[in-house]
Amino acid sequence: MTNTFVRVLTVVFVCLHVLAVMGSAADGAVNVVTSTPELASIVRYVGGSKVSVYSIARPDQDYHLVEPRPSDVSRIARADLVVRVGLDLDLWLDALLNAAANPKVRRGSAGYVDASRGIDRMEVPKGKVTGASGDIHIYGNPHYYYDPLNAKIIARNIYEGLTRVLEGDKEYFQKNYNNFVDEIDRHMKAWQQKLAPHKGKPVVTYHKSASYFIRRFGLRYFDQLEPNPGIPPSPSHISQLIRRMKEENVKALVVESIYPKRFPDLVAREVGIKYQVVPYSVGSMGTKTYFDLIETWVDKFVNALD
Amino acid sequence: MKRIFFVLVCILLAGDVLFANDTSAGVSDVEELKQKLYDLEQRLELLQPDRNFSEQPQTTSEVGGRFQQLPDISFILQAKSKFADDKADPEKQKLRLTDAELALQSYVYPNVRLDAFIAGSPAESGHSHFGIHEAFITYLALIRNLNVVIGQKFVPFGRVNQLHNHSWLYARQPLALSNLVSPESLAGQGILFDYNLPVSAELFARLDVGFWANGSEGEESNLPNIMVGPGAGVTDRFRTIRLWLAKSLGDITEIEIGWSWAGGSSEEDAATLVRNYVHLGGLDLSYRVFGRGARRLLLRGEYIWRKGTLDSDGVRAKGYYLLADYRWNRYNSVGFLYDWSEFPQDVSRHESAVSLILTRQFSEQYYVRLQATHGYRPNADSYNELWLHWAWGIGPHTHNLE
Repeated sequence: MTNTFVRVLTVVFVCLHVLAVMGSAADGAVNVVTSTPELASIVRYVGGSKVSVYSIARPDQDYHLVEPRPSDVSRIARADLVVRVGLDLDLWLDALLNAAANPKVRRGSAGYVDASRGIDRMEVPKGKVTGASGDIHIYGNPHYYYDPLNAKIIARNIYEGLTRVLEGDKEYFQKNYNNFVDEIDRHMKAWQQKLAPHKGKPVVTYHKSASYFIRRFGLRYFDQLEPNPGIPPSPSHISQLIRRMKEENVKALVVESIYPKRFPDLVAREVGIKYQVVPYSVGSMGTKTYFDLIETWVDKFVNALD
Repeated sequence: MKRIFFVLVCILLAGDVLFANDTSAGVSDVEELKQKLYDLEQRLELLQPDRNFSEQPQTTSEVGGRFQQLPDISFILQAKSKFADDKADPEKQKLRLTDAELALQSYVYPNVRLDAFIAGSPAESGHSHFGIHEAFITYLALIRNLNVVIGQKFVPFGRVNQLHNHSWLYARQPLALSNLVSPESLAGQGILFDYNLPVSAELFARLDVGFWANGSEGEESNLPNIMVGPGAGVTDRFRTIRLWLAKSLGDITEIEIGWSWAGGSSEEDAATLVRNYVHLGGLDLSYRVFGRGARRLLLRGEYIWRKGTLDSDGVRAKGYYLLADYRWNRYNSVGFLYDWSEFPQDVSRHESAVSLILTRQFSEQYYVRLQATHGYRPNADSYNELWLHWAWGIGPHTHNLE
């Protein structure tokens, strides 16, 4: 009985494996799986028509709390390149990478890209990190992709990954990468002009996801509605924040689109301001590309600061 | 003299004004220069095509010193308090530290991962009882699409058997699982082959085949008047097969179907020299819809049957549960659980319960749960229970695909 069981399983396994090898050889385009829609958008710019891209996190899904889905495993199992945010934001990706059993995209392989490589990280904890600090990322704030100049570094990492898996198309990817960088530079001038009159002005957000954006445009982080990252707003923190905002005449409250509106409503009402909602992801609030996302952020920040 | 004094006062006042201006101008200059310096650094970095990017570590061990070599270490503690109106229940009106779990996790080779979970129940019988719940090595992508696991592990039978109890969406195991499979999780020592069937990019299909020994024993009831099923009772060698299929329906929905089988025997009874040959089967269905932020609706049902040659004259015992869980933001969720189960030792008797579950997630590693249950069990027409469940965790803790 046991021998028959093992024999049947062996035959089934060998047949399926042959099918898998044949299937992967037949594939043409580079299959890229990214952890977030922002990375997917940048991959589309650099990879152009040579890539097929899929993002595991959906637009407006809290990236800290993505539940890995089994169907994502089959996509990673067929991927030639995986691009992740890193800095512990998308730790859930590891379970998917392990389950996919795809040696091409395993950590350290040619098809594995950590987009945070080379980023000047902010808010790297210096002292001991405990639960009292909230859900702290020990390698620093992972929301670096909201800084458009960091998008160039992300694009560079993606370009290097793509050329590793498809060396023959290096020139094509190089051209796309250069175009993307030029496009960022072109937009950057306009974005900086829009925010230039507000340099140094204080801003409050829900979660500390705008640090890189705020640094880039010379604004000043005042505080967050969360008392610590990932910790729900408490009445005492909110009442203190309202008092401090009134005392220091802070007018700008910007809320990422995924967060509840109860506390922003309360703070805005008490302080006597109108808060602005910014898209959390490419794909939320009508944005389609990375440039749309940053454009909307700039406009919403200008509205909040005016 | 007056003139000199007047001139000095003028100089002081002018200096005050000038210095004040200088200071504010200085602050804005510093800020501006800092910004320019940062911009130049960024540009310089981008202009260096061969810049040496330092690989930024992904695991959560601290950088620097010897503790770079440490694995990810985490500890999870759970406490439960049960308020019940069943007088036969000796666990009622008690607050207990029910579970403590120490996890050590790391890579030992580029594609080899080690996970060890040392766990126990400090409250059991008034003394601590700790042991290795799971300790296994995973060979990742040994060949394409195949992972191989060796060691002691919660076996892939059904949809939730492999979950650690801190990952459950309820305070106690569904009755069908505790009576027919295991009071907590069916575990074994052996080898497991996880193979992703190469069907299509749209369809996840995985075949898990395991060969095990030393399956976990059914827990002896310490509840004198409360009937408890023996679990799988496969204490000798046993095998498991699970076929797990999943497909995303559009961007935000996922459907999963699973079929599981386990077969094995108990050890030979010393007196009768007879073994109980047990077969377990299971079907499970899950449906998830994801929304904005952390919003998620989960519907899950699992049907399980067990047949032992020495139990109830070989008659099949059955059980099932239905679970609905809705998380409306990252902090709060509400669940509904209905479970029903027969007892393998007497299939003419069954128990059932309906529960309402509220969970408040304070952080990624800390939650509090309230579960209200109304149920029926043999020897008690009906009973009511209120569970209060806390879970606290420290350190980086990860699990395989759940």
